[in-house]
Parts: sequence; C-alpha cells; structure tokens
Amino acid sequence: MDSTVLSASHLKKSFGQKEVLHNLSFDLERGKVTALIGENGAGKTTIMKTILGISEFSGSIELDKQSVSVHDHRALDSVGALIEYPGLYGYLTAREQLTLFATGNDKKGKVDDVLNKLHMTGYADQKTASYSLGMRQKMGIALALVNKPMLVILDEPMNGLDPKANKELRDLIAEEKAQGVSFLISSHILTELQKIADDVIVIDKGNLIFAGTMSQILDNGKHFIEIQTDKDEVAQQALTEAGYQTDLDQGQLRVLVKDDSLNHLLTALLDQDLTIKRIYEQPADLETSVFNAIGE
Amino acid sequence: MGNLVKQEIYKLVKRPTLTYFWGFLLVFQIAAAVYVSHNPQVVNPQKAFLGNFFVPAMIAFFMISLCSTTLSTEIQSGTLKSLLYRKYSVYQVLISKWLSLLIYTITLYVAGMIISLVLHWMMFQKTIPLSVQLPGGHSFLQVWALTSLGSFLSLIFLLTFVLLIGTLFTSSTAALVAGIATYFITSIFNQLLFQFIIQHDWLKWTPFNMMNIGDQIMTPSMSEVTHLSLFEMSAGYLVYAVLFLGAGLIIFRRRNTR
Repeated sequence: MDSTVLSASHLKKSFGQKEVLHNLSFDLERGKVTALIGENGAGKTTIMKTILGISEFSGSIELDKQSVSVHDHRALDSVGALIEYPGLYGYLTAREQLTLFATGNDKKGKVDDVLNKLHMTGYADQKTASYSLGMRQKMGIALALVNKPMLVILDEPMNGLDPKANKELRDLIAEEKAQGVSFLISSHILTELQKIADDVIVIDKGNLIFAGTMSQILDNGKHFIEIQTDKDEVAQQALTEAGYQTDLDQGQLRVLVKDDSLNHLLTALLDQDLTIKRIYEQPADLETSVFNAIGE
Repeated sequence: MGNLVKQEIYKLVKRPTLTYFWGFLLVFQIAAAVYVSHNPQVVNPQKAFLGNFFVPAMIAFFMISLCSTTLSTEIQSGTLKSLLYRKYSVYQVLISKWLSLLIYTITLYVAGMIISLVLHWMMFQKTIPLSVQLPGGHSFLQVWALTSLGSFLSLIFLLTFVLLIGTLFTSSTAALVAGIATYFITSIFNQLLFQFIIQHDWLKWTPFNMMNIGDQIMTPSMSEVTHLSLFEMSAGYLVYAVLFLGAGLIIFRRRNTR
C-alpha cells in the first residue's frame, strides 16, 4: 500500500482577482497526523474545502490515487470532516443524526462505537439543540469519524473543548492513528498540535512555507538559551554585538541560538567582566518554530 | 441517490413543524366540512368537495414556505456543508432534496383526498352522489379526481419556480417572503393574463399561462382563453419546469463550490 494517502499538486485558487492559494504542493502520509498551520486568512480552510470537493481550484488532488474535484466526489467515501463548525439538526438527537449519516450495513454498531469513543453515550438521546458548545464540537467530530474513514479532516476541532475533552480527543486521535487512519488538523492551539502531530504544513498568505515532520520544524536549528548574570545589560550588549538576537525581560536574558555549539556565545560573555550565574536551554516550541518559519 | 432521498425524507418527517402541520390539516379539513354541511347556502357543498374542503390552498402555502426555505435553513444551521462534502455530487444533494419535497407534496395531497372521501362518506353521501354523471360526461368522482390532479399540477409548477428562488437566498426570512410573494403575484397575474393574451398573443407562452394546465385538463374548452392546446401547454409546462430546476441547479453549484 502506498504510504501517501493524499497528494496535492500545484493547487491554485482565486476569489475574483485575488489569488488565495499560490501553487501549493504537498502530500499527506498514511497513518499520520498532519498539522495545517497558518494565521487567520492564510488559506487553511480553503485548502480543506478543495480537498473536500466543495471549492473550485486548479491543480490536482488525489486521494488514494483517485482524483477529487467539485465534479468528482467518489473518493470522498473514505473521508470524514469537520469544517469551521459542526452543522447539527437541532430537532434530532445525536444518535439519530449519526445514524442518518452512517453508511453501510452495521449502522447501529458504527454509531454506538463512535458514541463510546467520544464518551457521548450519556447524552446521545438528547436533541442536539440543547447541546453546549463543547458537546456540539464533540458531535461534529463524531460525525467525521462515524463511517470509519481513511482520512479525517478537522478544522479547529479543539474549539470549545474543556481540558478533559481535549485530552480525550488527543487519545482518540492516537487510537485511530494506530489503526492506520490519517488526519489533517488545523488549529490555533499549537501546544495541542505539537502533542499530536507527526507532520506539519505551514502556510502564509496562500504560500507553502514549510512541509515536513514535526521534529524537522522544531529542530530547525533555532532555539533559545536563557542566561542569568550579575550584569545582564552588559551581557545583552555583548551578545548583540556578537550577532545574537536577544531579549531582556524581568531579569531574564533570552538569546536565540542557531546551532548546537555554545562556544561562541560563552566566549562573548566571558570576554566581559561578569559572572554567569545560570544558563539553560529552553526547548523549541511549535509556536516559535512556526514564527521562525514564517519569518516573524 | 436513493439513500440521499431517504435521508431527506427522514429529516422532513422528524421536523416538529411538519408534525404540527399534519394535525392542523386534519382539524382544518374536518372543520371546513362541518361548516359546509351546516351552511350549504353560504358554501356550495359540491364545490367544497371538489376543492377537497380548501385543503390544497393550505398545502400550497405550507409547501411554498418549505420549498423556499429548505436550503436557507440548512445554510443557517451549518448543515448544508456537511451534506456537500460526502461522496455525492452537489447536484445529487439538491435533486434529492427536491425529490423528497415532491414525495412529501404527493403524500399531503393524497392524504387530503382520502380525508375528503372519508368526510364525504360521513357527511355528504346523500347531497353529493359520486357516481352521478355531470354535463361533461364525467362522473362526479372523476371530476373530483381531475380537479385534484389539476390543482396538484399547478402547485408543482409553482413550486419549481419557488425552488429556484430558494437557491438564491441564504436567509430563511428573505426566502420565505420571496416564496409567498411569488404565490400572490402569480395568482393576481393569472387573473389578468387572459385579458392580456387577447391583446398580445405571445403572452400565451409565459409561464403564468402554463399554470392553467390543471383547469385545461378538466375543461378542454379552456384552450379558447389560454390560446394553447393541451399538448402545447403540457410541453410548455415541462420546458419551464426543466428551465427553472436547471437554473436552480446551476446557481446552487456556483454558490456552494466557490
């Protein structure tokens, strides 16, 4: 079986004169979680809509070697999605709506299974009009998962979820991933994405900035060192003159280093008449890495 | 496609408004029949029975509101998107909605007709003998069936236009107002149409004239005022219905795949 579940080539999309996706190409790996990251308006939802065949585009999208477009939805049989916010029929219960959208023979089994996985059985027979934001969000995720898809596309799935539900969602994604399900997830909560994603796609203003693994983006060679000295201002000036990007805030001197060697940094400090009290490495986080990738 | 239609019908059946409407329809029809049986000098019982005790007008209003808002309510609740990103095409999604509405209209009409027959059996057996031959050569029962078919066909034609209007609106209120306005405009214009056709013959080809198909099936001499044969009118009916629905499909696809 091919390791690529989805392949997008030369995606372009315009609204009138304004091009919002500029020739994007990327692959999604089978059985992996891919984070789709970008600012508001970067084009994340547009990418998801093109994959789901509800937005015109030029270029090509192949899902398991089968073409997807607004004219051809056949490949979407194996895709589940939650885009923007969950659409629920308020006059139906969760169980009724899931059964309505379930396909194949064992509809009841599929519905019971997803209700159990998302810990929704307690309120599965209530009309969804009475649901809280978090319950609605879970229901949207349940609808995406009910037909046991090969690829799940989730747009801001953590919206409205409390910490416990967030943890449950992470665990569920890990479980599904272990069974070979692939995920494409966009979220502004990068700390959550860092915990679950294997691969990362960063887009900015419709341009592909980065497509690679999580460890690649985190280990881009950029991380911070925090230093405490008896003369922080002097230390900052010396490091700035030595070419480092520094930030001094409330007695904490943060220095951005671009390689693993600290020799140059330490030499610059020891050349001054100061005492280094503490020095420690702050591991790179996804947020910083994304900002670095975008160049901000 | 069959699966989609089943899903749409399930949603219709589960909507509380529709359940209430069934109850309202039954009560309305019984009340109308009771009133007619007690006031035959005010309302002619034969005409009331032929018109299924005024139920078609209620069904028309209800179906116009349902057809005009069927898409906008889904847009407002965010459910339309989730219907579109499945294995079905945009066209299949919309056509399944239309088919379910057609089936629902037929069900309402047939239910109204059955209730009319039951009410006839209970209250009007003596005053309206169904087997009696009327001047046109048809029995009263046949005329009743043709009248019902005629009003059904006129409503379906009107609904094809309302469905087209429904694809243009994202707000339910706006869609509903436009749908109801269509009903009144076509009713008023239809009254004036025959006068205009005398002066401008080409007006016979307007869609308003095609709404008279039901009357013309029942009364062939209507062709003298519609200026169209039944064949021409049937062809016009079909062509306009296809045009309205075709335009609806194109608009729907463009609005939902931008």
